[in-house]
Amino acid sequence: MDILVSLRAYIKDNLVVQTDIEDVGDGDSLLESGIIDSMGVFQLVTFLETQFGVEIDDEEMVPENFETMTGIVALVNRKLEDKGT
Amino acid sequence: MSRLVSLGDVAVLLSRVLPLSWMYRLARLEGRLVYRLRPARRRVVERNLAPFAKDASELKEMTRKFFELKQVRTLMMLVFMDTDPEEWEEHLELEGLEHLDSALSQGRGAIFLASHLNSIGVFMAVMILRKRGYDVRVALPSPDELFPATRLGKVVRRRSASPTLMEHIGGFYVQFNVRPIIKALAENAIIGQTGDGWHSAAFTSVPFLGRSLPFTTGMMSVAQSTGTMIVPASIVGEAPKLRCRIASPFGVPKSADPRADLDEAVAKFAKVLERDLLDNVVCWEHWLFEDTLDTMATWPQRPLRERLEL
Repeated sequence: MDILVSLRAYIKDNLVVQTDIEDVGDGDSLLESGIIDSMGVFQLVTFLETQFGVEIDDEEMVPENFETMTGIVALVNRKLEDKGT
Repeated sequence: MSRLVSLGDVAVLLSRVLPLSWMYRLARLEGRLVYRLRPARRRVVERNLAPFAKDASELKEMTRKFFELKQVRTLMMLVFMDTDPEEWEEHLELEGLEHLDSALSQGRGAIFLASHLNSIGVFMAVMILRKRGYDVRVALPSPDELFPATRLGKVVRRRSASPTLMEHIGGFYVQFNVRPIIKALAENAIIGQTGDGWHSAAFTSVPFLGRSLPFTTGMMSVAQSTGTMIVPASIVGEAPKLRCRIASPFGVPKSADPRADLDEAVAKFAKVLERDLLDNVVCWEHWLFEDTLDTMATWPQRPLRERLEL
């Protein structure tokens, strides 16, 4: 399943966002621009863990990992590699 | 490595032999010295308080009072931690506990949303609530002890079974990751936080003191997602006579326009704070910022990393 496609769909359908997510590029800021907040990140993490069967530790829930969609996809890919998927 | 001794240790030792009223007079004197000997700091506070004073003489008095009360509050906290818990409520009165109980009756915890109005009093209020059996946990933006005990302090403090403020207030570190908050609320705990700070990934601008200013959306967003009630609380009065005024709780709905619901909730909190602040204008700690309201206006523009730092 394409992680980026799932991610965009989830943000669009579930998070309280100030901007139309379709206008947001993969490398555009999500946090600095206030598109999603800490609660949004928590909800996103819950979605990613359920959808892709990964576990994201508290230490990994830092702004650096959730600043852009590219970054989030990279995090999930890393976790999947660690799992050997 | 902890420090050997601090002025706070001296104050605690003196408070055991001198009447408390004398200690508060000494604290006010210390505040007056800061007012006189730190002109740059005095000017900052004066500029911020100017809109609230009717003339230059009143402004001078208000500014002096700001520094005096700040020192009295600090002393209150030090003495409080050294006092028998049975006597705590003689130092700070709680009003409106029924509002907190009402919020908790929903079984989804409560968000005890305070501010930097007499902010040190928030810790005292939390300590009293915990003593009364409420499961209050304070979310803090740093894992470090707020008032680290010196080596002498650890020896002289009576309440040595629980010497740290973090332990007294159920303090826990949460920075950006709200998972520990969600978990606590699911246990029907009360999360203590301030709603007029800058440690946030997101803000919304609401009316406050005649301007449109950014307030954090973090805890409102949590409340919206979890169904937890927001319980606004202000520490009012002039130290050493402080009261914790707990206001009616409110929920944050999720209607067809959840963003608007969030903004409305933030505006509600800001209105409560404004009301209480205007009654106690010299007690807001934020007046120490250079041009406080202009500084608040810049918070959303600062880099996230900077905003999340203490």
